[in-house]
Amino acid sequence: MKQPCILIVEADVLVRNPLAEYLRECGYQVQEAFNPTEARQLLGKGSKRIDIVLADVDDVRGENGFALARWIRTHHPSIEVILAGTISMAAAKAGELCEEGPKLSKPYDHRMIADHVRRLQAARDRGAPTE
Amino acid sequence: MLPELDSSPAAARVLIVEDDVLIRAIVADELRSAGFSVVEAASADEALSYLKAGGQTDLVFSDVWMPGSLNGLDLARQLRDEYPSLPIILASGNLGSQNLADFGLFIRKPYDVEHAVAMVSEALGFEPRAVVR
Repeated sequence: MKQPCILIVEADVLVRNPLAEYLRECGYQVQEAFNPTEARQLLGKGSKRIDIVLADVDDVRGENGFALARWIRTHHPSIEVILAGTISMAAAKAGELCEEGPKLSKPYDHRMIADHVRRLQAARDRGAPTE
Repeated sequence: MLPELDSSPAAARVLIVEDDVLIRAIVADELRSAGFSVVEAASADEALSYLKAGGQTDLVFSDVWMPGSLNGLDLARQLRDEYPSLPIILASGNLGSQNLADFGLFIRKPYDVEHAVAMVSEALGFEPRAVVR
């Protein structure tokens, strides 16, 4: 059975990576894009057919998630677009995807992702490792 | 002497630093198929952000010439100073005047992805294995 593929569009690696790993553990294939430009490249020329896009709403280098969503609806109308404005929202959306996903069991509570991300960001901001 | 690692490559995490998303995605996918855990960074700045937050990695595979406040060489210098035991593989099609071997292993671009995966495996002390699909 083909694994569904999710494209995460998020400028902060400390958010993007935990979300991507969580969704992979749920059984999805996951592609990662730093910004909408990378997302369009993957959608157009990437080696994997993408089924769902999970994108940050906020401005990333002058283009926000809404603009990307409009572009996707025009050029790839079969792709489901999910927009998230906060880490908690993104983690909750990832949790919903895992509930519906190819595996029967979730690897861990999706709320732990948001906590983990906040700890990573705090550690980065003060320049100290968390572990 | 081989490092004290779990016998499975899944215990090893590779940080890929590459600004070309199509290359980054292909290399990341091949490494995951070989059993590695992979963190993707679109720039040297992102890679440092990840490491400074305490993100774990066993090897850094980085492009050299990238946009941003740091390029791959700047990253390699910082890693050599701050994480001296961290293996680094640098990828470039243009050596310029730098001796990249001073910073770690080197792979010339364009490279065969399976060769890159084999280099990562060997650098981490694993037998390169066939990709499982």
